[in-house]
Amino acid sequence: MKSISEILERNSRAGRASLAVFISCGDPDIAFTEKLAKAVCAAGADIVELGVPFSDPMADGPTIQAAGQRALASGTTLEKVLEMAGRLRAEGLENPFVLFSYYNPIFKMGLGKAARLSRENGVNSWLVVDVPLEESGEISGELEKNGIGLVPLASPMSDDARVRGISESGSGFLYYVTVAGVTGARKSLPAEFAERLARVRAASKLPVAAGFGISSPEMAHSAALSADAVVVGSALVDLAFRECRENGEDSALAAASEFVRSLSEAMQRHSR
Amino acid sequence: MNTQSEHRGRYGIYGGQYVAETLMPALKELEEFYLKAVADPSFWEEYGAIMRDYVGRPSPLFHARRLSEYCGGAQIYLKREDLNHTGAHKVNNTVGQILLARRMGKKRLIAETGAGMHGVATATIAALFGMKCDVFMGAEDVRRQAQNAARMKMLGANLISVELKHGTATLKDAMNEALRDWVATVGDTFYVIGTAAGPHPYPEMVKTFQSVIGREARAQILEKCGRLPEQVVACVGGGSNAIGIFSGFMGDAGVKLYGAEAAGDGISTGRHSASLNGGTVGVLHGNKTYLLQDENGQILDTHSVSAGLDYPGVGPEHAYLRDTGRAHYVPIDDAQAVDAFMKLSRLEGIIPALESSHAVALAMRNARDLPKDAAIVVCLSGRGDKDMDSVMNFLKLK
Repeated sequence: MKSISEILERNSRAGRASLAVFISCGDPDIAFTEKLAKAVCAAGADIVELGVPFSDPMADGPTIQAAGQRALASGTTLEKVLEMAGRLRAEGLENPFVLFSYYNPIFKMGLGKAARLSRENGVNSWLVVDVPLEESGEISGELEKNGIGLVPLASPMSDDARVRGISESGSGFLYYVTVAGVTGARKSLPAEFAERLARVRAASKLPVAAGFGISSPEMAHSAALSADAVVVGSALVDLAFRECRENGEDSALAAASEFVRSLSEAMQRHSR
Repeated sequence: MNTQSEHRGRYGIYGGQYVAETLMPALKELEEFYLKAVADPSFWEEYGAIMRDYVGRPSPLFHARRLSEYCGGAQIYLKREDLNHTGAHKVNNTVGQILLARRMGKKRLIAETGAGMHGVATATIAALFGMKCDVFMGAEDVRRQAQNAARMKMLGANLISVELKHGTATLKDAMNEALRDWVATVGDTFYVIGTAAGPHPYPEMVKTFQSVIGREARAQILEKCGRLPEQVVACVGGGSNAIGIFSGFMGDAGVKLYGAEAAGDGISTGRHSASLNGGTVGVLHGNKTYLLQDENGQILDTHSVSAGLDYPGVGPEHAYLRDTGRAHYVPIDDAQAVDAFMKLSRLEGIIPALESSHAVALAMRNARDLPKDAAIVVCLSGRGDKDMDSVMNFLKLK
């Protein structure tokens, strides 16, 4: 299992940004997610964000809301997501895993148990959407004890001083939410994306990943010119769900692989 | 006992600011303006003038003689928040928050609403100040509180009906959608939260603006009875009217504080909204509190005949008051609430909101165990005009 820093540094030396892919675990069931995780890694995803479904995803748009509902309907729980991570490790997948969750499923399981199971199942880091800097002290102790990192979030509303503070509270990379808003595929990067990214990178002690809305190879390419890593989520969730429903699992895996490959290739063009 | 939030809105382990980073700078800005406003006498002059001339405060404290006689015990006094302009206590808070929004230069208001009373109160004050207002309401509540939905439209607000593919869309879902809107519009939009929950500083702020209920009620009962009451009773969904009236008596150790939670079909059926009686600690909508959730931390569907109490969480200070024992929270089911609704209507000529009927039911029950010279103050948080269809349907079904 590779560390996030190791991957980011390796890619940076090669002159390219890293690709992080968000998958909605358990959509439509955990067995498919397990195959999807392997497929996206084989297709060029550097980091996998394992999305844990939550009944009330306040920071998510319609795509991930619906995906979470499908995952809950299939009986997906935090524990099952962690067990899946463990199986992927046992099968030799080395890409870093970021557990992407709202706080309540973690809190309800118990911080200690959630951190221990994360360690035992090969999760590198947590990203907890609704635990901002001010509340992160509550979870940092258990994470440190278990050697799990914390990916902190910054947004266009965070000023430079805040970005610095946020970056000091975490490890691996800082997840920069490119737009004030919920998750969901968008048609273009926001205005002044490059300028903002440059400011965030200057203020941050960590490498910076750009996410929210990035939905095409062209956008990934543009984002990769400014960011250390690019996160793609809703677009892939949408694609996998549609293909799976219309043409079955194999077709969905093939389409997802093709999409991730196109993202990865687009990001390697015109390396920084 | 000090139950004021000391650090980022903490009440013991409860409260906090569990929100996406995008909202944190906005919450900090809000807290800053809020603290400045409450320390500024001119803010309170403006607030007080609107309360007096527009809302119609102080609201009376009414001795419900026939209801007390019927119960055969303690004397029941009703704090008549139902007589406020817009018909409920909600307006006390919306006036405060919207005055704050104006000081902050915000152009647009958003609100979530369950029974619609908070939505109506927000739409009303938005009209008063000529501000743009969008209200989020669960589709199930738009249906069962159709009159309030219509009122908001009359007042010029844009009503957004929140639909769900799975489950019934109620107050929780309206709040999710309002938070999603806010995260995208936080620069020019003020989120007027109606209940004493949500991220800090909302619980503290809502309590501050609702504390007018408790201050008035305490002075009024002292004037009427020459002493403090044995008990103060209020209904608790998120808990804004309860924390408002409790705040006036918090320091009076001899006054017992009672909250009536919505037990729906009964706690044992699982179809209820009583998070303090049937819930466990978790994190939702920006605060740590008691929640109705499954063993995996997924929030459960709630049920109550009253849309305003149909919520899986509760304000963090109530969670704290429950744990410390300063307040007691008692489940009241749909049938008991509707019975109290009918009793108060027939015995006193006052048609209470179904939410407030839960408090009336608990007061009626408690009154029987107390002597005739004891006194109970009930927060009659709203009027029941909006609930005609719900009650008729309930009585027909049962």
